[in-house]
Amino acid sequence: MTAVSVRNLTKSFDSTEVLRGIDLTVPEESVTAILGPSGCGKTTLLRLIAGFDAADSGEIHLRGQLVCGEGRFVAPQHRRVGYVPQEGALFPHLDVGDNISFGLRGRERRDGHRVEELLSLVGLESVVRQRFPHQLSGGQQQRVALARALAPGPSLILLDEPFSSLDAALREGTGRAVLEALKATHTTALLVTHDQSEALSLADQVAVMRDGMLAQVGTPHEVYRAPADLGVAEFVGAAVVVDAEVVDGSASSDLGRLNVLPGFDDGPARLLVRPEQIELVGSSQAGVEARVIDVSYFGHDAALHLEVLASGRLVTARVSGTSVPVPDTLVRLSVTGPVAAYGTEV
Amino acid sequence: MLVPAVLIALVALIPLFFVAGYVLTIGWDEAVALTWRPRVGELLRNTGLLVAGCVALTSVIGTGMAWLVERTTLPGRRVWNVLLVAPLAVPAFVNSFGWVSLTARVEGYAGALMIVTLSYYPLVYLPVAAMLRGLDPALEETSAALGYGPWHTFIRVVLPQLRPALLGGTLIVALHLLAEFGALQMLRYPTFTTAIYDQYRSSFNGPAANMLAAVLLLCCVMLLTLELRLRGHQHYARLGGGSARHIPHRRLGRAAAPSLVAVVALTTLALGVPLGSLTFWLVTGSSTGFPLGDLAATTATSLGLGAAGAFITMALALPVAWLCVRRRGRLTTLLERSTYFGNAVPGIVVALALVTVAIRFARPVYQTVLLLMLAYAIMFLPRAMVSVRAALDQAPPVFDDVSHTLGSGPMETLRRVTLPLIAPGLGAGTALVFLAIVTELTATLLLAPIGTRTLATQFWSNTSSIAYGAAAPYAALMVVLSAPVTVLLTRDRWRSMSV
Amino acid sequence: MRFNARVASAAGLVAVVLGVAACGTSDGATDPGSGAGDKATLTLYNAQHEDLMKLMVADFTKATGIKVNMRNGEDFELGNQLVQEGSASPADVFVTENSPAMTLVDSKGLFAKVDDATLAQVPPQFAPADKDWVGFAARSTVFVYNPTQLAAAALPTSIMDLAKLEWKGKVGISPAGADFQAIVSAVLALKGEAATTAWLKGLKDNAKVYQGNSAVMKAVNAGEVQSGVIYHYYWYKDQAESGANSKNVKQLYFGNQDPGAFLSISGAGVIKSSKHQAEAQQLVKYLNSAAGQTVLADSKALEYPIGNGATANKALKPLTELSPPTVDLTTLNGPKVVELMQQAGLL
Repeated sequence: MTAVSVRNLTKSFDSTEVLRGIDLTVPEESVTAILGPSGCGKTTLLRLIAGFDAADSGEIHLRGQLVCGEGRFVAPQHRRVGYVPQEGALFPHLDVGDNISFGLRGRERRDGHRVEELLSLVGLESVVRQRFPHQLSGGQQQRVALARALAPGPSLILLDEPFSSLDAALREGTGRAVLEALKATHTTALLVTHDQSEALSLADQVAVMRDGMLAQVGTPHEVYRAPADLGVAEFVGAAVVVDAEVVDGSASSDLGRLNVLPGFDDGPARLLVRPEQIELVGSSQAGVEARVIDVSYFGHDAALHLEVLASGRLVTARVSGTSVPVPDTLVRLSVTGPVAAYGTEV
Repeated sequence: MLVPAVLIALVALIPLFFVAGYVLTIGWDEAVALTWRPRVGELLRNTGLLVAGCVALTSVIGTGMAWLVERTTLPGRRVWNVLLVAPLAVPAFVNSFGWVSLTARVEGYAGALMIVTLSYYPLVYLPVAAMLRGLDPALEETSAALGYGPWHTFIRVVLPQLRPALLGGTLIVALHLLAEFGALQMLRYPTFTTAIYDQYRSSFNGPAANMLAAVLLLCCVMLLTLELRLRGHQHYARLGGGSARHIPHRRLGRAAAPSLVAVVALTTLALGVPLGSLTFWLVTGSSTGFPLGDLAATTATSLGLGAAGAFITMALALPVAWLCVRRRGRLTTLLERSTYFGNAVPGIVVALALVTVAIRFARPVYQTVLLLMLAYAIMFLPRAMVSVRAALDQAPPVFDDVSHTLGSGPMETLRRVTLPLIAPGLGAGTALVFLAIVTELTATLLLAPIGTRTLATQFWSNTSSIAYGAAAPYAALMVVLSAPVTVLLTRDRWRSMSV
Repeated sequence: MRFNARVASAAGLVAVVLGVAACGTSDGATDPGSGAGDKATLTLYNAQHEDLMKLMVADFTKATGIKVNMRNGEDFELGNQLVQEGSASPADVFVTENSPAMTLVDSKGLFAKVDDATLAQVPPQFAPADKDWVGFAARSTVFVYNPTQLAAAALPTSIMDLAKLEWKGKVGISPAGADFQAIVSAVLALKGEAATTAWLKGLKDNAKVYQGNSAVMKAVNAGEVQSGVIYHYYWYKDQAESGANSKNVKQLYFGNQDPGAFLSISGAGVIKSSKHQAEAQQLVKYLNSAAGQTVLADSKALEYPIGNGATANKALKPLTELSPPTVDLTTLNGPKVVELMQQAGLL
């Protein structure tokens, strides 16, 4: 069964069309990331699914039930959807325990078992229970916000840029903890983010959104390796784009002969090469010759900015941090793995 | 929500409509004849001199004291912070009473300037101190690293940063001065407001009074415009919610003793003298009686008017503030601006406008508590707006969203989330408006219904007949009522509300 | 925790305010209909001294059971207010310190005729010819001075002298008060507009301005200003109490029918639109009745009673020795005086 099914959804504010026909299916017990730049309409989509706003047209089904569309509108408090907003939005007047038990009713709210359970679920010690939100770190606040959203046992959780306010070091760990808690409770999640690495690393399914429409929906791998178009390609990761002529599934280019992913007819094409596909080769015959212009060294790996000698083209390569050439060295490059090809007309 | 908000904004603009309408109806020649006369020139000069002098003095004193307390090793800074704000608990006319009942030498310009400065410098001190506290010390360190000494750094780096606080603070001082009646009347220093009152006493709402009101209103609006211009398009770093950086306090060294003397002298003059004088009259005054019944009845009336007025004002501020916070737009901005107009309208003008408007168009409310409440609402709506907006900011819509997804409907959300979040802000706002009403004199004198006596009007009636001892208990009660709210203003959270 | 404490304190504050509001509004003290049983409650626009009228009204209520609410103000404030309010005024009776404001209200036809029996209680010169109001007290203009600063030889012989150059900075007045305005109206009635205008211009240059006659006398006593123009009873009242504000002050009565010897009449009238005509007439009648005049004479107000057969406080200079100028009450023109004073810059 599908947890969320959205059909042909539209929404405008004043005269601006924010959503222009969205179709999306979210399978049960999966994490779907809606990835897009700010202003693309992804938060609006989330708010429509939560029921904070009504759509102009189209339908939303939650667990097969129509909650929006055909003149029907179910208020958010009756949708059984959990919501984790940006920066957590913990109620500042309640301590952690009261925040978590806010959505519980009756006896469940009064006795504290559920709170303890949820705290450990999101990886927090029970001592934080008496603390107030302003006494918590950003990561802790996010975990409490998740615990609060999970408390009433919703089948769907909506996460709106939940990690954007955390610094890089915390983001990874908090993301993992959230994922584990979701898996442990068999909860479906819809995660809105503008951070592609967050989307790729946490989600089972990534929906790339652009100008109020979904440009591509697929697994993280599909979206990264075979983006629907070059725009998506450049949004989900660094891209080197080269022009070439495709003949029989392969193309000859500035970077040598490349294998093209199936599904592209012969003809002129623009090829997508990911920087990590560009390798330095030891042999003096293979590959094409290039000069190292400069190096950004990150430790675990490094980004090389290179000039292909034959054509003067500038490319970026991502190489392991173990052996990094110094600027002005001449190196030889080759591309590993197939690349995606796109038509030349824009 | 929009319809009530528009109505409220229109009510707030009654004084403006009144003055504009009046000038139109009496015609240009008559208006000029009443405005272009030596007395108006004299009042303009008096008012201008007082505003200029007081703005200059309060700037220097307010900034100096804020710097001493926030940035130096002055001993007892915590205590001074409270004592330096405490004069706000003594209404200016009580301060004036404290001085003038001891010596007539404070009458006239110099005395008036000193007394209003002592009463109003906290209005500059508060914002400047807050600004200094939030200022990034890195700026000063950078200046020092570039080779500038402390004095240079203060003038070239700190002072420009303080500009918005100084402008805001001195604007409020100036508006207070234009509206000040009791203190200046007692000091025999005629300004527009006292002259309008004299006119009112000699001719009720006659043309001369109304035209003076028009000129006064014009002055206030010009001040507001001037301030907007000066503030202009400059951008300043927004004050952080509490900088993590510890701000180093400058060692005073040999300047410690004179600095301490200055702070002690200021608080003695601003607080010690009026309170001492009040105590003296309470204890020894010949006309001091403690008519307990009268005192209790008057206090109850003051408290009742204050409470009712505060609730009405806050209730009127709510829809407008809600629209501003939740539905920003050109119209809501306009509505908000209209409600702030009350800041620029002295009580005497509000009262004159309401007297005339009520007699001509709304007889049934004339001479009723309702009309008085309306005056309070117009005058104190800006204060209420500031606190209601701040309160509503405590409850952004995301909390409603979260609460809804947790299964709480609108009413439950209001009860469990919104109200607990905004209650402290609304409470503080109510308290501030309440305080303002309890110490309001001018509009109350003109609009109080038959038989209604407040602490302020009783105090005034006694001081007018030189019964200083009899006046003292009323003044003391006003100070006692004001004190707790004033303490509130020393907390960072509410500083911005000293409007 | 911190937050809860704040909520609690805010809630407490609101509770206090609410509670207080409850008792405050019940106190009200403004409901004209309450507590008077079947008798009407009169609304009195009172421009006379509040303490004196309180005494007289209390005695009246005791005698008749008719309650009286007072709205206090200045002569012209309340007079103009009555004019503005017209027939919708809540006022039943109007009482002033001085007669010009009575003339103003009378000129708009707002007074009912005073009962003949009431008029008969005072000599005819204390009521206007149209019988629309009646006097009930009188006060004399005096010149007060500080003898240590002002030698007997330097004393003025007429109030008109005070506009002369040599009086610059030496005389205190309270021009915003109805008392002084009444004196000016006498000057206007006796000397004409041109002379009055010139006199006021001189005063504008010479006089130090105070708020109220008590303040003028206090300033003279303290040596802040050498002299002042006030009414007689301020000095007597202070003498009767402690003399603290008058021990260095002497009085000079100009006499000789000088405008400065002006005897001002406090008037009372019934408002035509009053719904309680009978009770209002009763109150006015009481004011210059033997009973009312006794309360007036015995009070600390020390104004002159003018009812037939009433005797003033013995401390006062007898009414018969004052030699005031003869002024037709109805010619005292309040609005004109205010206008002239505005032109002179005194208002």
